[in-house]
Amino acid sequence: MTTDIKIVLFEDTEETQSEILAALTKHLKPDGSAIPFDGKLFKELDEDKKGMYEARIEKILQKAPFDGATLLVADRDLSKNVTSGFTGLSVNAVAAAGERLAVPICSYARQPEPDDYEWRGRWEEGHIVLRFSDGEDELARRAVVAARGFAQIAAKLPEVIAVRANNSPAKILAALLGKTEYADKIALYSVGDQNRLMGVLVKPKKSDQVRRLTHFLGYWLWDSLLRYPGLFVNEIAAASHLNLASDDFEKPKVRLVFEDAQYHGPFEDSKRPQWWRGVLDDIVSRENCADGLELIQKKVDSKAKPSQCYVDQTKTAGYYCIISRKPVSLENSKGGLSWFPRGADLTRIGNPMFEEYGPWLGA
Amino acid sequence: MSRKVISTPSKVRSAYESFLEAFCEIVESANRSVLFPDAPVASCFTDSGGGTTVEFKRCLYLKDWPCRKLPASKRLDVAVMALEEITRDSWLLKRSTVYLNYFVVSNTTAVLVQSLHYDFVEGGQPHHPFFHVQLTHEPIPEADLRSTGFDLQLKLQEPSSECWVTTRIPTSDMTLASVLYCLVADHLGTGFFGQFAERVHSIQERLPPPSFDALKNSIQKSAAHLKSSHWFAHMREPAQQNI
Repeated sequence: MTTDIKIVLFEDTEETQSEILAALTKHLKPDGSAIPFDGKLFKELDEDKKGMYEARIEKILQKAPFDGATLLVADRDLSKNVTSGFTGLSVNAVAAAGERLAVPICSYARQPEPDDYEWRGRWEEGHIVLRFSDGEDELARRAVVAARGFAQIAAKLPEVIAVRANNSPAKILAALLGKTEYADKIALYSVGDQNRLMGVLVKPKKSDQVRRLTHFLGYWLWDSLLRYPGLFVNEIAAASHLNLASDDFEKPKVRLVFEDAQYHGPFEDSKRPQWWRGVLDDIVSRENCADGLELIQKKVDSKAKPSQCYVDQTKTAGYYCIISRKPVSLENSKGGLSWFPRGADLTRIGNPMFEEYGPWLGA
Repeated sequence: MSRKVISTPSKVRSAYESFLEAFCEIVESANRSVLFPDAPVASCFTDSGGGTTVEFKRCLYLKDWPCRKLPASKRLDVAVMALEEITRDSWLLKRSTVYLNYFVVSNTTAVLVQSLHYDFVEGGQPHHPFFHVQLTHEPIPEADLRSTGFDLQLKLQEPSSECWVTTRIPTSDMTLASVLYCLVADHLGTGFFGQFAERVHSIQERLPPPSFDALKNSIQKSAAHLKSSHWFAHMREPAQQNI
């Protein structure tokens, strides 16, 4: 990919800023750069200085060297802002500026986050939530995965939208991912997803179409399709769906059997691989096997073990608890919550978690 | 003990998923509701024994289905349960039985007023029209009904009002998809039916087709005349099938 990637970092602690910048620069090589946001670089009109932070940032982000940014990365707490004129800046103002310009944003919090930080991210619409507790290097690596994903979408989008048949977000995304046969399944991820409604309702100008659509489709893919197992499955969900113990699914010879199903596309992450669930199913059924366990026992290792439900280990799993991130069985979990995308039929919440958080999780 | 879920080709699974989703969407558009068990469509494909076929079983409960004959104090609910058997080598429909129960609901009581099932078996059944519907008094098993979230008091028909007419009426291929299609056409009106028909047109192509060679051959040999005997073609010797 030849697209130049540009990441703008909003971080109010100098030491952290330089560490993250160095890590971003390392991971962006050879096709990108990372620069810190610095309001001091610009002489703003007095009138502009009276404006809302989001409007001021929006203007600044349209000027060199920040113009054409692929991604904004921002600390959630920017109250110690070292950049002049932006005292008490919050990530929400940065996100709002990004939203207006259709530049995606990743946010992180420096203080240790609770275990449930990531799944709670669903309430943080408009940000990609990254974990700081895994270290600056991992944070930067994930931010670069996001930036490359958005850049890939932007690069491929013009040829996809030029095809008249690609006349809905689901069809466009299916074509972008090279799996037009999954357009119906992708469409199920949009059913009732009111968070993304504005992105569909606002019709962009022709000149702005690729940028706006990239923003919309990128968030949808990252935050919904790749997050809630159904169309895609992560390592734990894949093993569970195939009825394989997670340690068996990690074995290289087992991985090889399912190699054709591995996802390669925007936001692909070698450290957190994902698989096309439909292709996994096709591999299993093509061999006339009932499930992945039968296939692996027949072809690779007769001692391969079944998946185990984390609630009741005498039961096989099959599904994925989005909160505990563990394999779970149908009987010991709850699915179809109103905030789950409809296509996410492998996403469940284990009964113990549901009983604990029930009132907050909704029906 | 629950039966083993079988991995199904994505084309087949997604066809069922998409068709059922389209049905739910049109029902909700018409301001009605459809209840179904808390189990994904993928989990409805289970081993039907012998390792050569898969059974698809799904129960739906349709609430407040439009019915002009009922007074405002009552409503019509419909329960649908499909049992379809699909071959695992060619993914053809080998058997399909779709049960329908019609309930008149007042307050918290649901009275079963009519039962029927649409039926077909690959190769045909002796003395049964190949595809047929039969009026019965059989209720859908209560456990299946309750699994959808049905929470009314259930009142079955009195023995004296059981349906004594058991004639098997020949039909076209009334599989789950066809039954849902006809329910939309019959009850939701032209506008909703038009939308639904357009939406599911391409999905129908992907659903496992029923296997009905004897009937097909019989009709093809005298396509201009839909004789009653066509529906019993499976009972005749191949040489006689064009009679």
